Amino acid sequence: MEIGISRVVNLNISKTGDDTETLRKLEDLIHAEFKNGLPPHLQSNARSQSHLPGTDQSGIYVTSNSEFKKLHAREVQRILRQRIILVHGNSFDRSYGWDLESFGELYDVDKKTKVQGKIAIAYDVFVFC
Amino acid sequence: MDRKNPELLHHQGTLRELHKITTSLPIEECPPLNTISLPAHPRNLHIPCQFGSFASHEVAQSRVPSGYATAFRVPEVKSRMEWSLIGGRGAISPFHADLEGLGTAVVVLDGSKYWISITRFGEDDAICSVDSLGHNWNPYLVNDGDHAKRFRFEAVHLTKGDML
Repeated sequence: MEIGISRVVNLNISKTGDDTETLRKLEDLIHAEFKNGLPPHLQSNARSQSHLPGTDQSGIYVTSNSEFKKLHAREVQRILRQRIILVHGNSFDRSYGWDLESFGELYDVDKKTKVQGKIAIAYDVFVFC
Repeated sequence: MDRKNPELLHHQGTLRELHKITTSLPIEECPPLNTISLPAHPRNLHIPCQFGSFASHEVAQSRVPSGYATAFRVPEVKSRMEWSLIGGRGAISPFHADLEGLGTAVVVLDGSKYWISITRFGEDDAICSVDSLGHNWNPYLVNDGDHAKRFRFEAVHLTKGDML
């Protein structure tokens, strides 16, 4: 299970690099599947538990937390054989935010960990090296 | 990320430093940063019960006392099955398949994440059979030729409280 705190992701394709090229290609393919301006998982048949092969049905089954909890494990597994499941409205044991208190719930805030990214400017607290 | 500059990818830092950088720098100057694979143990989250449909023994192990694995000499798997990440604005993960055919669920605790998934692989509608993208998988394969057309891609803007 992957549990994350992420800030709003804005696709910034003004940058350079392989990710930019990849994202441009993928965005074109993804938008080609839109119908009436909406992606497949926001079409009504995405909420059907039945798999509709050969149609434009999304590969993502969309449901709410309350509906998901009613599903038997066998049903969950049956759906997962064909589609990914997106569950909206899950609640947590506390409210998380972009602050040290929330970070501390996930990991010791003063312990070294792996960080991906680059920082190309001088900064007084910069210690990634 | 740039394949030509791999030395820029991985650093060691703390979450306190990550927080200070991301909250002090102007948005336009703050680089995308992503802390990955934060182990499950130091935190207090419990996997919601409905996720037991995915991997019941891992869920069970998440609910027993932390010393259980040692006391009863059973393999400790939680730290290998569950992890957290904290990604700043613009952080990107290259294409990958999570390991060994195991289902992976992502839960957004705060913020949002734009998640692109492969929902069809070749002519096969059943994505359950795809447990690996191969030993020599190149995450930038889709940049080359017509490889992207082998897949169906769908994107979801996940927001707080979403689980995929």
